[in-house]
Amino acid sequence: MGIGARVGVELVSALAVGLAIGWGLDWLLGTRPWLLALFVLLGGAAGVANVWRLMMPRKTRPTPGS
Amino acid sequence: MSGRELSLAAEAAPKIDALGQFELHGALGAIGRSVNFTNSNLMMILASALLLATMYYGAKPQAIIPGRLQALAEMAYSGIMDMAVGAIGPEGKKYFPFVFTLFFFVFLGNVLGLLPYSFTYTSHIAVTGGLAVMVIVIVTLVALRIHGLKFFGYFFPEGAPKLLAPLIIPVEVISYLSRPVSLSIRLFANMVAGHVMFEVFGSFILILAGAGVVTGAFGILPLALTVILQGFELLVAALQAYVFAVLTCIYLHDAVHLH
Repeated sequence: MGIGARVGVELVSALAVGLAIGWGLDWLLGTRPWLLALFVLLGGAAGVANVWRLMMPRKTRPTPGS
Repeated sequence: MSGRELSLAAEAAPKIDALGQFELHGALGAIGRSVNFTNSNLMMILASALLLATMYYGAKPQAIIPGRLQALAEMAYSGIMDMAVGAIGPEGKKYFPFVFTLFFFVFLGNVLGLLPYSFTYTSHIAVTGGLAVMVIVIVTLVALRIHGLKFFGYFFPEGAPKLLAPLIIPVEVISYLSRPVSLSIRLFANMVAGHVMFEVFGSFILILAGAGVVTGAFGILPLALTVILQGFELLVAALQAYVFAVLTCIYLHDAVHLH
């Protein structure tokens, strides 16, 4: 249950944030549906980045400057 | 069977009302209702009072050989201190009070919610979301205060090709903003799932017991499952509070050290 649920939550929450940003910008700028489509893709990418960070141990991550 | 009889039969059949336990209702009578004081607020105040009383009366004796309450308070203190210093670094001492309060507010909410007739305030997304937004705002303010505008370099890792900036920066910003969402959903979903399971298995006991002598004996199975589930939910309550506090520490580490 542990790690699977965490991966799922990370993926879905990033997608939800992307969706919300896209929706909000569309509503502000009147460009529905283009920014929504763009930010859903970016949100999915951010979700994968979150899972990458979750799975990779801290030390093997490239840490420039530290 | 007429319509009236049908509706009577439907009323007699036991229904599983799994979400009724999460409803807010007024507490403390007419005075509480007039200021929208709910059972959720009551449990929050109870949890805070319990924490304050434990720490106050635990720290009061200052005995060299601690009594039970003092040992509890000292274990709570040193446990969270180790976590904060371990995850944030030596600077973690500065953020210890915040992490300590956060951990015990969530922990007591989860654990007190397991008692019969009580209410789990961490099962409401408004509460967990509020806590998570508070965490992320504080973490961002800490990062801005320590690093100033260099904080925004966090969204673009050094050494990445400049050409990819329009792609990397939005992804990193969304990834940063998704932290409070995942933080709040994780705690909220775990609490709701556990309490819904309690309600469903508890209803199974009553349904089986009410169904007759032979099937009634099978009611022992969901009863046993509920007992096991209680132990499991105690684990989840402690674990989720720990995860909430540890993730706060990791975010603070990122804010203090940037990367």
